[in-house]
Amino acid sequence: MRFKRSMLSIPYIVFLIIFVMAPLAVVVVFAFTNGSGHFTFENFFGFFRSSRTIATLIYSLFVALVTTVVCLLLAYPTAYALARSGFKKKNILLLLAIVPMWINFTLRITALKEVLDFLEGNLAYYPFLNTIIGQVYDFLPFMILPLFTVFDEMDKSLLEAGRDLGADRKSLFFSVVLPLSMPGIVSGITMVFLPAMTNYVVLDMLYNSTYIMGSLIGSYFNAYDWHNGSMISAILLLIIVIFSSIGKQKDQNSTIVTPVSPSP
Amino acid sequence: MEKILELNHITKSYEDGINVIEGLNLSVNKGELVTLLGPSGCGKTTLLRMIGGFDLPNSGEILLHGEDIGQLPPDKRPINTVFQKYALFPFLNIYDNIAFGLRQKKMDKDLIRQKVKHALTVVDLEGFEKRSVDSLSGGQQQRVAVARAIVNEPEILLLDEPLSALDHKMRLEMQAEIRSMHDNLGMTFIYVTHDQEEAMNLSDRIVVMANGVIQQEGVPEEIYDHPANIFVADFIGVSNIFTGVVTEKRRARFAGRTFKTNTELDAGTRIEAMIRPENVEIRPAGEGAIDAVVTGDIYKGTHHEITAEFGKYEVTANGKKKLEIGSTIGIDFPGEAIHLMPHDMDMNVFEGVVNDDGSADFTYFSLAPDAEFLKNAAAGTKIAVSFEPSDADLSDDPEAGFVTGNIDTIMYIGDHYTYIVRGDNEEEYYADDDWLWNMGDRVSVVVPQDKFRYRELP
Repeated sequence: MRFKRSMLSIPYIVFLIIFVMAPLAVVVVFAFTNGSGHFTFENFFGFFRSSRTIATLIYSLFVALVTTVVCLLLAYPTAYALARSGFKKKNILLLLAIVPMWINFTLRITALKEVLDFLEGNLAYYPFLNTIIGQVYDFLPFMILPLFTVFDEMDKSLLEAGRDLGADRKSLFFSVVLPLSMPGIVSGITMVFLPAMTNYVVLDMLYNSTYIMGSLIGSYFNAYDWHNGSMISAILLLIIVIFSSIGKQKDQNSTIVTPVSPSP
Repeated sequence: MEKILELNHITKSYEDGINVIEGLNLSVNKGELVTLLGPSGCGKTTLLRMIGGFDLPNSGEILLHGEDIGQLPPDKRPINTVFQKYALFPFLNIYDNIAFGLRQKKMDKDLIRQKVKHALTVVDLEGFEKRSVDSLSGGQQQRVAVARAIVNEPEILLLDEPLSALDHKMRLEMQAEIRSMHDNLGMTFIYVTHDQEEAMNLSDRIVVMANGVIQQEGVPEEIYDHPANIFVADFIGVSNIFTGVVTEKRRARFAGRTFKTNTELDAGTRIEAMIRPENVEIRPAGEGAIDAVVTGDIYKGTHHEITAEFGKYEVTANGKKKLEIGSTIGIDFPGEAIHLMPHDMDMNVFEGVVNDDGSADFTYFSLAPDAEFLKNAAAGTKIAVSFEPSDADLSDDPEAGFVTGNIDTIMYIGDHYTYIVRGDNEEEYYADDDWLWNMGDRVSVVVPQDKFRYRELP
């Protein structure tokens, strides 16, 4: 048999089937069946009928929103300063911001827990604040990286053109720098917002007993209710698809390389 | 004419302390199209950036209508720039790109619409308002960049190699358009390019720069016909350049011959002689001042570019008809077409190698191992030796000097004679001597041992 170029794709296709298609199919099948294996929409409607699950969804969205906003506010000036610094080895500065990602996630949060415990006396006093601190600590690098990339690659002549055409520093920021950094903002948000909705390990470890979407799925699976657990996963997946398609439309020409999404 | 811009004693150095521009003076008249021309790294772009406000001079003043704007930021200067790679805002459409500057001035919306529409008419892009930057060709983006700048009605428009990204045909078209735009708008343009042809086509005045220094400024014809120095001559157009000396009134010796010229330079002035290929006369063998052997013939459409060799020299000439390679032709340099440029150059410089015993062999002569330099130099070191004509004397004793030859040229320079001694291999030695020698006398060149200057070659 002659070797064809297209055969190079076989390993990828096999990988795709085993690790992407099959699990997805399993999730969808479980989401739309009941305990006796019959097809049903009950899990879907059940999700929206239960005030508990809806409250969890809203709380998750809120946690994710606050996390994302704080990350953006911290990362934007940081990334700008890093990219624009005159320091010759600015990649080392970037590394310093990224290096926490290399430390084991649980170890990092455990350390953070000790610090917060020491500062606050008892973690239980500020569960929401602690959650946000933990989430931001965890996700900040994923906001910094895409923003650093846009600032680093930003065409200096565009900034000069802005000044040349009469924009002062402040006006230059709003009329040139901000629009140019939009692709970085969009991909940063995608990198942070969606994972922040499900990353319940941070809450668990910091003794925040309120459920977010991730903990909800976990609780169903722990109770062997795979059908409702799968349905929530499927709904989350749907939300992700909707969000990222909006992001893509806003960001058609962007070539920002985003790091792989974190998962605890 | 009214001066719009004056640069006085501008010096710019970067962090490493090297001066990019040193003590530069330049003035630009209102409504003029001035080109800053030079090779990359000559400081022309830095100069333009200082006028635009993107770089600040370390010292010196930039006067616009007599007021120093040298330290103002770009947004405070009534000057706009067309950037090399256009620098159009990718997130704005064509209309918004052009309106950018007017909006910064908080201008009335209807007025903006009117001005943008007019600017688009000027650059011949009516109806492109809603198009995105990406959907435009390089030439169209170029026009938008020009429109975005001129819509602000700047006192001076700066253009930084605006056509360098376009193909040759497009470039010629845009040159003509920029020229006619300039004439219609009556605006002052300062144009930076490294393309001498572009500068010739466009400019009212060309400023030739090299190493951060203005080499020459003038109208294109002047720059081409009367280059101030060898750099300008070489950079602009094709040229034949020979080093030599003015031997007497209206006569110069170069390329191994003496030519009539219309020079006013004094006898003894060291010169570079330049002659353009189109002025070199090609004749049948034996009928020119020089016989040369044809080594190349390239057909250029309008003429044949002939290269020919004689002795150690090479000459480029424009011929009407094809010539056989290897054939002999006569070459003549008409006196009125020879352009002489005074040039401070080293004469009597010879290259050679150090031997094991500390002596040195040069192409035409050898030197004994007397000098400290030679004693200390390792065998095989490549060196150059030189001496001043004033340190050399002539003798009729062939054993007295380090080399012998015949008197070839006699120049009376004020109070003494400078002789050119021609060695047996057509090499030349310059020597001042108080004695009167005759043409053709056999002499040896005497230089005291301590007057030789040695240096190691890389």
